[in-house]
Amino acid sequence: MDTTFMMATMLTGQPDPEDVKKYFRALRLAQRDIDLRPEVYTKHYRNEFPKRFLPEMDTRRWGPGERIVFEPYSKEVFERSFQWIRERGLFEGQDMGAGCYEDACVSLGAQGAKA
Amino acid sequence: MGKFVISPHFRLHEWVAEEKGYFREVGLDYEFRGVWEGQELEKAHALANKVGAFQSFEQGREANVSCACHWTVNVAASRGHGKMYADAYSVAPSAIFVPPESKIRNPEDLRGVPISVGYQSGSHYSTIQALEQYMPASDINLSFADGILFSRLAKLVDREVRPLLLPRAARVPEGDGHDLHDGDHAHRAA
Repeated sequence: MDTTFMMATMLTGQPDPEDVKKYFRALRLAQRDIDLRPEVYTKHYRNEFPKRFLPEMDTRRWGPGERIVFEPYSKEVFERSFQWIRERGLFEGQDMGAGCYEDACVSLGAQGAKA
Repeated sequence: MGKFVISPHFRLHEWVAEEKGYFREVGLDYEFRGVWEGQELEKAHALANKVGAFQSFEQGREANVSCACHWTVNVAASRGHGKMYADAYSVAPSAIFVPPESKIRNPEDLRGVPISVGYQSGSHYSTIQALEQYMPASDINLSFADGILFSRLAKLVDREVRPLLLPRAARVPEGDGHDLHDGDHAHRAA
């Protein structure tokens, strides 16, 4: 059963915003390459799998996996997701914080969040 | 300010950018090292019950930039464990797998059956998101005791757990599991 879901990036340790921009610029180039010729790069899965599985892995048959979308994680998406978690009690007994987009998120180029 | 730390984390992008020299090309002064480097992943991923991605943010992550499902990053950032980067997100294909010999063939068959997921990790939320189309929350039975990614994969292959959720690109070795919707085994994960 498919359970595809969204991933997000967390910045910790106060990295230089210019470095973060450069990092994502490089990832955008990588995403283009993966889109164009996924079969060339699926070999890299072998770098991170436990050794016991390597003999059985034919990564030529594997898909590209995660895809980065260079679109904003908007305030609406943030708030709807926060609410979705709260409604289901997935942090019951734990502090979820204020759920304030402007405090929790940082934008280095897109609109809607403060840097 | 120290070097920018880049840690690959089970997706292709960081490896491709490193291979093609893109990090250097954009002028990044960086260090490339895996979070799990040098560790036996099956053991390293065998976290305690109810320890998952959110708890790793609570403990503090080494890399300047790291990823998790958007739900956990959302709450972790709301709690002040970092800043959620709002200019991009990603989409991760994943699925619930069962062993090929399992009698479970349809989502409804999972009613009350323990499903192995990572606590407050993508698999936790996405399993609920998918299964609540088929059953009430009270019938969704999640188990958090089998750790994260490779610990759970090993347990499926070794038949120590029943259904579990895995990334779809990270295929289960041939004959060791199939996607639950692929009832005819035409797309048996290999």
